[in-house]
Amino acid sequence: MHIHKFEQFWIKLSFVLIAFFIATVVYGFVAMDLKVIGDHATIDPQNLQETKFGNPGVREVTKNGQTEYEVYVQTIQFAYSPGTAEPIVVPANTRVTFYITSPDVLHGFDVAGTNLNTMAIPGQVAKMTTIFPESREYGIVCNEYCGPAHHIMEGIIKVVPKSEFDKSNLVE
Amino acid sequence: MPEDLSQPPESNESGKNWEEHNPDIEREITIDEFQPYGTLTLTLLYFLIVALMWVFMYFIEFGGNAPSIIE
Repeated sequence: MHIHKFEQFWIKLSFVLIAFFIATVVYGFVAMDLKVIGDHATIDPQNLQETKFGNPGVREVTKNGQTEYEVYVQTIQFAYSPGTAEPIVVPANTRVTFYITSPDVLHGFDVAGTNLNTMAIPGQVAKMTTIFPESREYGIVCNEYCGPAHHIMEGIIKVVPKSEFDKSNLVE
Repeated sequence: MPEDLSQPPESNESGKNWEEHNPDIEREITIDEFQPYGTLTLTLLYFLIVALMWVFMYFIEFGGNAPSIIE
């Protein structure tokens, strides 16, 4: 089959473009250290009460001699617990690990304007660790359609300076 | 009626080639003599736009959108 040389040229160019896209993604994960959510653990969504999700909130933990925080969040139709009724309060410049799951339907947990974004899938626990560099408020939005009030499902993460972090609100 | 639609109108002249149907044609060229530089320019421009938008989306909108997942 005879192919015109111009067509040959832009067919080759298409392969170069695909190679370029793959190369940038590989570069992002290798050199820029970008990460995405993996599969952390599975859980029985009917019995969250018997797990740490039964008492959701911010916990203090010590890992490698450092004080870190773990945040257990339940996503429910149509709120984050904690997050919606009361904000999730965490200190700045500290490692914070979020554990997120859902007892009912698929939800999203997207910290608006950041790279923190995960699905909350019934039966699965999403885990993500981050460090908030500055004290400010971040909005959380549900970005997976979860039912008729999906559009009003939102929450708040309040990042406060380390010195102002009130440990009396931590859960056991 | 559907049978009529399936027939091209000049089916009775099917022996004639395209040039005979178009007497205004001035010159016939082969496929390799056809040099669509305009199309080439537009294609290159399009590839360039796609590549630049990808770089913007991936490195600035996604990669540069700290705080990120560190673990």
